[in-house]
Amino acid sequence: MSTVQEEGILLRSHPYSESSRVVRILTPERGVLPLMARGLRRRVEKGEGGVDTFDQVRIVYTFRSGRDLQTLTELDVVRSRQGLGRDLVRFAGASLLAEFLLAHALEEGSPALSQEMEGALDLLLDRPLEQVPGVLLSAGWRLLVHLGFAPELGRCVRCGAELDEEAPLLRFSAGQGGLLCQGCGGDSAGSRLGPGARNDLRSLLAGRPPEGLRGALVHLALLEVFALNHLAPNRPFQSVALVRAGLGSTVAR
Amino acid sequence: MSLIDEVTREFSRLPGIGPRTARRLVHHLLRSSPEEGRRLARALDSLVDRIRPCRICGNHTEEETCAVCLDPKRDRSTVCVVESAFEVESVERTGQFQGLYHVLGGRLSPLDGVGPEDLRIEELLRRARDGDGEVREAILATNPSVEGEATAVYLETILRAEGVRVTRLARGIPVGSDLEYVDGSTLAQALAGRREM
Repeated sequence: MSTVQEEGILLRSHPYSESSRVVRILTPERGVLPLMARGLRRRVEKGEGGVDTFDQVRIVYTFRSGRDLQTLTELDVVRSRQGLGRDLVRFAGASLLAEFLLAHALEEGSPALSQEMEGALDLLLDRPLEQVPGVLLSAGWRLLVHLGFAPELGRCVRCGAELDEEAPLLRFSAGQGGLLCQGCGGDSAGSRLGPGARNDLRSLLAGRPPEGLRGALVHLALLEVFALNHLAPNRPFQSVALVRAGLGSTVAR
Repeated sequence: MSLIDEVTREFSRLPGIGPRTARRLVHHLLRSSPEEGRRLARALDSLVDRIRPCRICGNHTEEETCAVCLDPKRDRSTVCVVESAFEVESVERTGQFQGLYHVLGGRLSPLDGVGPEDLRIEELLRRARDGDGEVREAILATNPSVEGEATAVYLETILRAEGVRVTRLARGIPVGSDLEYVDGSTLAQALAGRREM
């Protein structure tokens, strides 16, 4: 048994008894860590302020290997991200990123992944509304890359042939993990992407969302299908419909 | 499992009751007159059988329509939107609100699989649309959590489109508390929501 101090992101919490909660916190050292937080629901009554989903928290917990649920002993909110709730796309987007991490059941830590998620949530919170779709899509793809599922855009995922960047339309096969050359793509399922859409996808993967990203809803569908294929959650991502609804109105604005 | 253990387990499922308190309750009932235990059993039985959601607002009621919705003295132009029927009681206890209620039955939380279609949002829209302009203001009293806030934003968008004035409960320092003990986030919101004296 050891006492560990870390900083992390509260991804999910649900009540356990009158005063406690079971929380899932993304930590750099141990991935998504389930913790029993006794007395957490009484924080507000004690004047310590509430703790909310997506908050950056500093935690102290006792770790026992082999246990499914570790015990949280201290929690401080380092940075509240409650503002994410004040806009539907920001909120649903943050929820979608959290769903990716929870679907992967990440048991090992990755400081780079934690940093990516932290940065993504802060950008979702702070960036002007018109930039939010690009920030979300880029963050979604980057999390998948950190989880080990980078889509292949340079070579055909079936025959390995180098792809012509200027080719008019190439099939993107989520199941096979990326683009198919014109010869292999003919009989395959998946969206057909033109050079512009492929370039936008490269920029999103590089963490540089293109200014004035076109087809945000199409890119969202691409990200969703790819994540469904590779993270294989036991149910569809619940946040997508809400992101779509929000993006619909953002795009309309 | 003995009957005593079974009842103890059922009591301990209730919020705020741990296994020890549950056992104490069971032994209290066993020490009391049999009629006391039967009265409790009958009351619980009736509670489960007879309480249902009000057909208009979703509040708990024994009839088809709850007492608040039936009360002719209530202001029908203002509807307070809450997450659960429990919160109707909280607002009623203040004695300051004379309008009607609408119980959503939860809040948007994609991480828990709760989307707009899982809440009583359609019913709220129907009240706004079909009431011949009777609903003029909706007070969004969802909880001040990130999910409660997102629910309020979602409702604001669709209610405004129906021409309803949308307001949100104010947030700030609890009455009787001391500034020294108020957390930073609450204090920041109280500052942002300050008003002219």
